[in-house]
Amino acid sequence: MAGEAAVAVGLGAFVEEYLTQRVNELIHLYRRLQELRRRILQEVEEKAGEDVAEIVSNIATAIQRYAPEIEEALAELRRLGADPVKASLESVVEEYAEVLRLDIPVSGGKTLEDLLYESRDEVLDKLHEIMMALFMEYVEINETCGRECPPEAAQKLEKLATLELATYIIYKLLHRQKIDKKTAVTALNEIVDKILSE
Amino acid sequence: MIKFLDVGYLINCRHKIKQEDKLVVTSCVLKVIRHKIKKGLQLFIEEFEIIKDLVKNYYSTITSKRRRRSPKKIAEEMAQLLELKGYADIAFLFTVIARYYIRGLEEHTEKTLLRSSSKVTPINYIVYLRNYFKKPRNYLVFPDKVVDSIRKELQQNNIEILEIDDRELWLDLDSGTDREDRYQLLCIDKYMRNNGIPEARFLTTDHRLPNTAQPFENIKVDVVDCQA
Repeated sequence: MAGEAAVAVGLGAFVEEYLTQRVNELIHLYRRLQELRRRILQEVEEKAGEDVAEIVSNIATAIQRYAPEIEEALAELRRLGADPVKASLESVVEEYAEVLRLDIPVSGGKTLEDLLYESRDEVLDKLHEIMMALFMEYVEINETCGRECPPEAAQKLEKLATLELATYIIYKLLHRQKIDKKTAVTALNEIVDKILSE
Repeated sequence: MIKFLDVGYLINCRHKIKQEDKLVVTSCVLKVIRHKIKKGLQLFIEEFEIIKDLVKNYYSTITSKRRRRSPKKIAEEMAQLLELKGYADIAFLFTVIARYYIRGLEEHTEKTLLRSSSKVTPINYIVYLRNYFKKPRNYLVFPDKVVDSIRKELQQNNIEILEIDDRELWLDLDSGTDREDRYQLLCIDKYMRNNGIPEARFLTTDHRLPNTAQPFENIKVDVVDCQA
């Protein structure tokens, strides 16, 4: 029995513990980035009006303010051998592909697909358009960015990431009834146009 | 006798085209297709909200699983639906998308929309298409890509494309619902005169065309029904 116990705890011990340690280090840094994102969103949301250009500009300012902390986390990720931009790009493509299957239950047992066909919710329609637009753009950039992102693609990625944050802020403002549906639809429309403008 | 094809015949009667016939197409037909695609694209973007509602209504009673189908099948159904609802120009765009392999669009659809499945839900497909055409560079090059695809297929089927110098022909026409038909007829007439061809046939799917063709006595119009 002792032999079996030794196998149970020992088999794969080194490789698993080694990997876990590495994954934990990476997770800790990704969580750090997530925390910074939440602080940026909160700050921008608190002073947000309904003007998309203003929201985008506030996001850029907030990101600038947090840049040293963000850079520190990125440097640490790179030191551990991760490529944070490439990894984020690959995972965001997969995430959007999954959401755009539209079969995930979202409310009252209904899927996103049910709601899109049955409801006449303009905000939901616009969010769907934005998700599709971002997905299409991220797929293209992911193809362009191999080992390194050309400056043009990196610049575009920065613009898309800011617009994605702006989408979330509009969505939160509507959710908290700080803006009405009509304003949200106008703002989201503007975001789709900006995403697809190049 | 030389047989000319019109836009409708070319797009709708591909299955009837036989290699042994001496079939020809004037470059004017391709110009009309390009023009119609441009118009269809513009209207598709302008009327997108209405079209989206049509799609929602049409497919909402079908279960999610049965709703999913290939993009080509959706495009074909969309063309029928839009034709029925009076959006002929946008229907033309969807007919062409359904029937031809259009370089650029097809590859893009494969790597994005069809990434995880060969079947998609129609609402995703039309939002995808709208987004694709909203991108300025896609919007600008798509009509030419369509013409390239059709040219390629014509060459594969040994259908000759007669290049016509049409500079004055289109501009001299006054506007009217039959402007595109008259233009195609004038192109054929010019080619026949320049090459001493006494008589030709013109294959069309348009029942109004024999009327428009009355002044052109040496062009015999054959109306064919190809919607099978």
